[in-house]
Amino acid sequence: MAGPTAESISGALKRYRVMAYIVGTVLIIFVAAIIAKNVFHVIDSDTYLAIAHGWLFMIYLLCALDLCLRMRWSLPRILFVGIAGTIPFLSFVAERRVMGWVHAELGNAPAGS
Amino acid sequence: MLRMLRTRKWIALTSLAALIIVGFGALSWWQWGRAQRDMITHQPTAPLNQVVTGTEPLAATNYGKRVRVTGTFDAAHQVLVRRDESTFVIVTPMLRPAEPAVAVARGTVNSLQDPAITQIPAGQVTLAGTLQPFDGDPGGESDLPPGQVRHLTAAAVGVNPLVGGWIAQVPAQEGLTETGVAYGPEAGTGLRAQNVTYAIQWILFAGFVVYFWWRIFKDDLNAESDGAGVELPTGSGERRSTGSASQDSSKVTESKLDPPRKKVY
Repeated sequence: MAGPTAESISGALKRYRVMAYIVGTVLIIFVAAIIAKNVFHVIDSDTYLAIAHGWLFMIYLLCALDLCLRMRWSLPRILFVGIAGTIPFLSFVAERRVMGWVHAELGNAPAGS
Repeated sequence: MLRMLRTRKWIALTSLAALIIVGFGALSWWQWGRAQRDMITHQPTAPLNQVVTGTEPLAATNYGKRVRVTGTFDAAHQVLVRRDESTFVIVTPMLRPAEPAVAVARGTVNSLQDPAITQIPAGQVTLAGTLQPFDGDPGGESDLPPGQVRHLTAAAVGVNPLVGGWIAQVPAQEGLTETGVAYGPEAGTGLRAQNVTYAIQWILFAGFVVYFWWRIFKDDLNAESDGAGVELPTGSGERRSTGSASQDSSKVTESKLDPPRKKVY
């Protein structure tokens, strides 16, 4: 099978980036809610955000794995990109690094940037 | 295809996938257990005699308290509490040696013909439930047939001495509907949605492992059939599988210089 090209990964890259931003944003809101609930006691429940993040993270993980496999990345890199969806702010960092790797490996500016 | 599965790389990948699936299954099971932690049947019980000793009316602080009790049912003093035309609570006193008897609502039936009414467990029984106060006695004549009452009072149970409150058995005796109570949580409620979804998600994650295992496998098969000798000389899988961890991490750094054609997984 041929290696990845800017065309062959453009859809996967777009999906991954959209999910990285969504999951990263929801995760920060979720962390804020956890603090609001347990430290300041201003809200009673963060359950809905926990559940929302759970499902969104699943979609994020599917998109991230899809992109990583298309790019034929190594296992440590796949783990890093996957786990980034569960650590506040890291999904934004991961998204930048993914863009850097894609640029470096495919040379030209891939679609979606 | 099978030959490829026997290479060291694929034995390692398949074992890893299987291990991850088992791990995710365990995590799902753990979350399922956590999802149930609010359910009344998972909450601790206190022995009845640590909560109530005498026969005086139940203190309001004990309403809805979860207790367990051991004794034998007194079938002769069973009484049916009529809540409406088709809802009857079966209340059977439980006799305890050296302690007052206690009225136990075993459950609810919708028909007086229900065989569960006379299916009273024999011998020594231990059960759990929530403490409930007796109804006030409205006085006056009863218009109901013998053995039925409208209000559950100590007098209606007719056993002496009797604890000054009754126990709603939770979960109800098998085959009976749970008795609706005024105090305390009812069984079946309190399954935590958050942990239920996490439990489901761990199973789905295990599904991902299967799916991506298959994708990598297919990629590898294709690479072997149309790329053999060109990009991926035979034996490449073998070479990569040895010390894959260190090689993988080195790929991260070298990847910037190294254009595509990486088949590292």
